[in-house]
Amino acid sequence: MNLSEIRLHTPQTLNEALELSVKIKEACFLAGGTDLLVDIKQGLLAAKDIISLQEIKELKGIKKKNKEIRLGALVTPNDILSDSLINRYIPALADAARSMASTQIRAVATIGGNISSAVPSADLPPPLIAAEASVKLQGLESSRKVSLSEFFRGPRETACKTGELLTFILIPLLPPGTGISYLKFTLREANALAVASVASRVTLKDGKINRAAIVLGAVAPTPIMALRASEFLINREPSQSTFEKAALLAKEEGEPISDIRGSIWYRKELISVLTRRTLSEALERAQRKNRKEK
Amino acid sequence: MMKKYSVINTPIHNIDGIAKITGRAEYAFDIKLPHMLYGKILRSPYPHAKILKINTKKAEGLTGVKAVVTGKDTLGIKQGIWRRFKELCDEEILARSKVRYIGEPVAAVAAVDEDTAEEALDLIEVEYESLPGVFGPLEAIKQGAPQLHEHAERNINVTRHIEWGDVDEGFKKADHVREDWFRCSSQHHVCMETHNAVASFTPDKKLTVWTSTQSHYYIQVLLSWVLGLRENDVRVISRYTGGGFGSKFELDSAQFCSSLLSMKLFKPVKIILTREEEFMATKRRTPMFYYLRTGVKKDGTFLAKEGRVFTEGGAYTSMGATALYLTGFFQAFPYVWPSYRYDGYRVYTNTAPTSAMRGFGAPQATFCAETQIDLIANDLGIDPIKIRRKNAMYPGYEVPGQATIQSCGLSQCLDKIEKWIKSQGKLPPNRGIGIAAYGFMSGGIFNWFDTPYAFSSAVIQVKIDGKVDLYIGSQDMGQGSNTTMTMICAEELGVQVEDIRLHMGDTESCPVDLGAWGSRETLMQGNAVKMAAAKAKQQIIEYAAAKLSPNIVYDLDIKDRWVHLIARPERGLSYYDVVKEAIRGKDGQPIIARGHYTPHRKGMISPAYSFGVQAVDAEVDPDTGKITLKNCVTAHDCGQVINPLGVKGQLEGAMAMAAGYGFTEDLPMDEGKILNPNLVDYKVLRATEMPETKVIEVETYEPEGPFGAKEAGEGLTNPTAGALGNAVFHATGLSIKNLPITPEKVLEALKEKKKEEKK
Repeated sequence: MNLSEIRLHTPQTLNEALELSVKIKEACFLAGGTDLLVDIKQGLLAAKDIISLQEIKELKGIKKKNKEIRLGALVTPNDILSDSLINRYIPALADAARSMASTQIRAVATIGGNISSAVPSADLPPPLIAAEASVKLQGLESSRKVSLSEFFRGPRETACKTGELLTFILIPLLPPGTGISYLKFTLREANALAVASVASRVTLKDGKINRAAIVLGAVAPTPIMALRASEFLINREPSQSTFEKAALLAKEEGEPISDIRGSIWYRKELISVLTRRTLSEALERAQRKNRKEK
Repeated sequence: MMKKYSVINTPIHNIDGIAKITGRAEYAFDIKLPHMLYGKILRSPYPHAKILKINTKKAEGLTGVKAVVTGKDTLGIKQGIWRRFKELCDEEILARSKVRYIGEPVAAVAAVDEDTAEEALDLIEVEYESLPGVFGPLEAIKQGAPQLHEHAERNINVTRHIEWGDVDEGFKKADHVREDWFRCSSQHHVCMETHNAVASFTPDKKLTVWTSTQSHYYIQVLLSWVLGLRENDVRVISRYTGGGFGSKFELDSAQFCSSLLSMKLFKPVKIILTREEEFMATKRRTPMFYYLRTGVKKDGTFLAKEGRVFTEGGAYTSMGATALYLTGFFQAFPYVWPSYRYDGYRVYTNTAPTSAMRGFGAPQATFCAETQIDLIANDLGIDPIKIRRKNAMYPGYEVPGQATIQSCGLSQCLDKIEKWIKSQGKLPPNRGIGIAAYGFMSGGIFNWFDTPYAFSSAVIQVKIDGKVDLYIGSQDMGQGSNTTMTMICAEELGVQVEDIRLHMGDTESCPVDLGAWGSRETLMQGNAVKMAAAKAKQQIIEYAAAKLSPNIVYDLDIKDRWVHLIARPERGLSYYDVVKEAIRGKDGQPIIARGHYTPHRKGMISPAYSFGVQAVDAEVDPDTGKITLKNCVTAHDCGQVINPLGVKGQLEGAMAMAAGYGFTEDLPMDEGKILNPNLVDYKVLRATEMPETKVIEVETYEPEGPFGAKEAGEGLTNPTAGALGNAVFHATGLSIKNLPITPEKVLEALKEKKKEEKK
């Protein structure tokens, strides 16, 4: 595909962008372009028109408003990993951003793109789902808020409809005593896709786990919640043996495939190891927070 | 007393470093000529198929397309680098009737820009008849397997046999015999500069090709052969080459297709391979299945070794025949084996051809040999250093019928590594240090290319201001040979590096050298340069002698631009002054001298061998099988070091490449299709994986090398996979005999072991 033959549109406002997308039905939105341009170059996607979002200022920046943190779709991994709000309230998201791709990609990729591309091994969705984040989908006439855990429908398939654009990511402020941890296993420390990844969240109350979430990445068509493993933790006192049991449950909930990065067997083994390790780190973070806020 | 050397053994930065880092170095990649067109190559999507028909009409009709060529436009010559052996010249480059691997070129287009050329590729209609393919050597050698070439029954391409001593008797005497099977994977060179060429054919029937190569001479000769031109009507220019590692001394599709298109159009044509094409179709390290049977005495003395190997040849011979011989030879390195028998089979398969890659068959051999030696040491309860020391090669040792070892610092290397290991104390759990000993050649003696020229030549011209023009045929591809040659010239002539102006990378102005492969430049080109410099120096000294009129018993020399009596260094003249007068005295002729080197009566393989021992300290995560490299220490004998900074760079580069071979890099395939032809899924090491590295130089003097120097850099690729595997063995008790040692393989073995222990 010749990139030179593509028409590039550069709307200055969100409204202009949405109007364009209604007018040109087949047009693609471009945020960072780290997935889109590669797909076009490899002939996986035929695009005649691209609507660049780069000029839309309102889609940039990370803000705390009311009881949530709001990230614009154009926020880059570099923005996330160095942001003080993120590092204070949800350091696991900064960890995930830091673990992504390479220096160059982290400077231009966007959170909106990382979510919208709906690649099973994407790094940002698991910690966001664990944090009960939702996304705002904006159409020309209306907008709606969709929980991220319900956003993914399959590999490269989402709840976002034609004419809609993912504009913001909303993370509710977590209750005291909450910790989240994200770990992934890769075959190289940098510039490598996850073979398996896990984000775990625990919220402690009176020494027991009050809420828990274990989210698995790269081991199913979409990021998935290991429901049985998560529920198992509720109302239990955190301990290594409890985490061990949850890890074994999580392992059975993954539905990985075998490919060049790892076999089904190996991916399942990794789920259990990563679940155990993320739970331990989430607990540590939960306890640390608890202490501070007392 | 003057310092022994005023130039060599002093660390200096590469002389072309500044041009490179400031972007001023002009690679073929950067060449732009007036009216230049851009070419693209259509490649086979089938691993094995007959070409029934090619219709190029539609492509030719596309606006902007200037020419399309197919096999029909060629002379149909089956070429190869083993020119002395007709049956090993089996590759047409543009296939005429049959394709044998995915990615084999079938047509090429020249157009006004790359996008148009690419669009035209989609318009070329090729009718194929798909044939059954065969993808592994063990299947391809079976009776009844699909046959790739008419002349090669059971797909056997080359066989090799090496034998000395009484092997059967050796096994009879042995107290302990071990048999192991190993699988060595493939690896890609991943040069930063992909294969590319700009070819310009002019109405005077002369062809100029700017390209990225390890040997402009080979490319000149091969191009003239397949295009039907006279050798010296083809000029190859390769001032800079962005990495080679063995992938760039055969004729490639960019060079051939751009030349063919340019000859049709009388316009310059540029072809740059994409990274994906590079992975699919520019050759790669040879995968090998190794069987080793080894017999030793109770005390660890080696008695007999038998090796059998089946290598995955891919579709064509390439440099694979050399790799098959060298892997057999280096399987017995660097030890004294009273008896040894080797049988190698290179088998054609419907996969991308396998060929030369840094180490040239030796990394595979060293991985298998060194892994097995640790297993034997473990079986017998002998320390890994001790068993190696007991059997180590030594100066003056003769490999029966093959080679004579002159300088050899292997024992000193073992001592240094033993000392380092001891200094580390007791290691934490899941951590281990593994070692591997190795050796390598300093240039090959083989002349399958059938050159009538000396293997290396150099010409020197000293100008009136004392500036020296040095013309060499060797190719710098990043390994630093330009700097090495300049240093050797400066040292021998008695001047400084800044006095030398180097001319290289152009067949029109440079004397012939076979190129940068087989670790030949330092020794072979180095000797030629040293000879030329010595002859030029002699001419200068003659004039100085006339002026100084010393007693006849005194010898003169030049050091650091001072022409002097060796015994009385204060009695002398400025080099610059002498040169000026000398040229005047020669009736105004500059001082010119030539040097050359061809090995004679130096055995079958190489005039000299480097040696070393490497220790890898690694940690294994018992939950995931993940390996983390902590330290890599190498004791290294490359004779006299020319440029210490160059050696360090070579060691670190080789270590990164060889560790990648050991545990991250692989080319998995599905029916001949490479599944990871990109830099995300093909995992070369990054800074994040690199451990601390340390070099301990063990200096020896190699009588055959310039100033006593030998190979440094390629041989360093040999030990790492074995040392890494042995580190995993000492950390976990597990020996993985199947490269690369991935975390999944380690975890699988750990789980197996646990199961066994429970029983």
